[in-house]
Amino acid sequence: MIRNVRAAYLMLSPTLVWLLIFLVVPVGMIAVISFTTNLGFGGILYEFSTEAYRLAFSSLYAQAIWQSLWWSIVATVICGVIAYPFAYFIAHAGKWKNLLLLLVMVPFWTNLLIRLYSWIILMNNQGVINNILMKIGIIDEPITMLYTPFAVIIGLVYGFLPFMILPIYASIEQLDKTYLEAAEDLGANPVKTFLTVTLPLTFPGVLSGTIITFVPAVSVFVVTDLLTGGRLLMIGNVIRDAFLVEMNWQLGSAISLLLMILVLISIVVLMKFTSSEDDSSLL
Amino acid sequence: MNRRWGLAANITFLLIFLAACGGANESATTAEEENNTNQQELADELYFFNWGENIDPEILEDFEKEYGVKVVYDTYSANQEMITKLSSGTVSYDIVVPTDYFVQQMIEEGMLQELNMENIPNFENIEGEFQDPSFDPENKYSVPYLYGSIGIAYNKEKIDKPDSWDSLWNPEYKDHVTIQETPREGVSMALQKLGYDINEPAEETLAEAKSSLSDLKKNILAYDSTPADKLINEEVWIAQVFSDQAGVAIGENENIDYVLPEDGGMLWMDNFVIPKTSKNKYTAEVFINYMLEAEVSKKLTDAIPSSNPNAAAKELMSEEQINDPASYPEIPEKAVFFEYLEPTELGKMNQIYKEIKVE
Repeated sequence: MIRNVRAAYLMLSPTLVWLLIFLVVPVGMIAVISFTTNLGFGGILYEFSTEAYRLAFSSLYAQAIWQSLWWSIVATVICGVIAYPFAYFIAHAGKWKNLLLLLVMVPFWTNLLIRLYSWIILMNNQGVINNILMKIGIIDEPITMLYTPFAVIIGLVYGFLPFMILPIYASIEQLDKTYLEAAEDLGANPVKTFLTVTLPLTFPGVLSGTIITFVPAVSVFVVTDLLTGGRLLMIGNVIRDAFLVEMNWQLGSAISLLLMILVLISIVVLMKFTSSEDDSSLL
Repeated sequence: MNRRWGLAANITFLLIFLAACGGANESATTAEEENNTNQQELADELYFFNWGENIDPEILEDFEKEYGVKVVYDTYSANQEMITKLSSGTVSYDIVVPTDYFVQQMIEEGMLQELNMENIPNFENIEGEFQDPSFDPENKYSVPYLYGSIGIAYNKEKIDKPDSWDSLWNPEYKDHVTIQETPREGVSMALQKLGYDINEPAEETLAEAKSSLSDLKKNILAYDSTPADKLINEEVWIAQVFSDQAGVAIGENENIDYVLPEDGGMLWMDNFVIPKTSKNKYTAEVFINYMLEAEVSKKLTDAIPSSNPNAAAKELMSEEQINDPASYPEIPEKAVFFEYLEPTELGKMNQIYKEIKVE
């Protein structure tokens, strides 16, 4: 028995070492730095200070965090609404399935930065969309899309949609079709079957899709940088600027840590909320 | 046989070792002597640490040919980076090129050697208005290299010629305005517009600047330090820009012009200085003097979009170069250089920018 445990740890060791070096150590460093004293221009004096947290809890950062959370939640919900039917369609597309999946993944072959530049060309006041709408005569004046929260949402949805589609697809694909037949046999109409059988059974896919969409979306900064010309801030911009522009490592570390805690709490809440749902659906 | 070879090897090694020691001692003393007696002999090598993309490499080759001194050239991308590397003591350069207020900081920290102007007679080529700068009175430690300004680029077809920063606040230009992305440049503009000294920010003047910038936000399309593309496609009509960005835009779209506002505008200047750690002060001064020769200096700004403070070089330039509004705008009396600010003061400016963006 003991030998088995040892063997298990031995086999796990590359992963554990990896996690130690690239997760535990960096997060630990961030935690330590956040409590040190700022010497200005990136200087760190290893003397205990809570100054960074005093700054981090100012209304400014609360507002930036709130904005980021709000935009990411909206984007995640939109992703979910688009992704579910999309994934459902792919799962039932027969021989086209693999091709469609490939198309979902193709954008990952290009960096998000470059793909966002194409949205600048599309949404620009002199851009493709405005030009077409004005040529057809639907609008007289260009609509300002770039530089607004609308552009942020577009960027987030566009950037993270595949993260939502793939896990939902996987769960729909694995759905045991005999449940659906049973529901039909027992007289449920398609709508009822979907709501009481398909949806609850594929919910784990929606859940993991939600987490892996929401978590990167909340901390991203290239979307606001490129699509709003630096007019709007997400918490990712604030952290980046704390390190690179202000060279205040303590502040950057403190906000990063607070953001991590906040994201962990939201995931725990989400899991709790949905796992009880799962239990009831299994009964 | 073996033993003899071993002995020979030992002796050879010993000799090499002794020679190396002697050599090292010798070079150390000459370096000291050179610095003490100001011996006027050229060194074999000159270590030059400059901004990236800030020279025409041919100039260095020409200098090597003419003086037989090999120039070892390295680049940096931020003043702070250069100062950090120098003060770490791991590197030693004979010439570095800090921007205005970093010269002041390096003087205060005792990092620079005083220049012997007898070795730099070409200093008289520098235009009067660029001599004796606020960051190094009487040019004791520095010689101007290149300069530029922050002013207003605008589209002549879309709007009237702006005369002050206040034009950016004109409600008619809503959504056609950009200002610098970096907090210090943006906040300084607001301070200057309100008539305050950009180098002495006080609690109250910063508060006023903040509310002024917050009014401006309604007009602003983007906070952008490189808005040339937006000026070229005429999405932006008026912008707070560095002169070299204006130059790029003017080159692509003839409707664009560049002026310094009558509130002053800001100036920056890169300068040659010689760090304390340099052992080749005389060679460095000869090199600086060479760089100030009219033809050499002209060659430099033929390749680099910055402005040239060298009057003799400007005499050699074409009409077109001299009349380029981005390189040689009319500089108002009130134009100022950025001076050193404490990290806490810069912190306040950063805070203002963030608060405005989150509003």
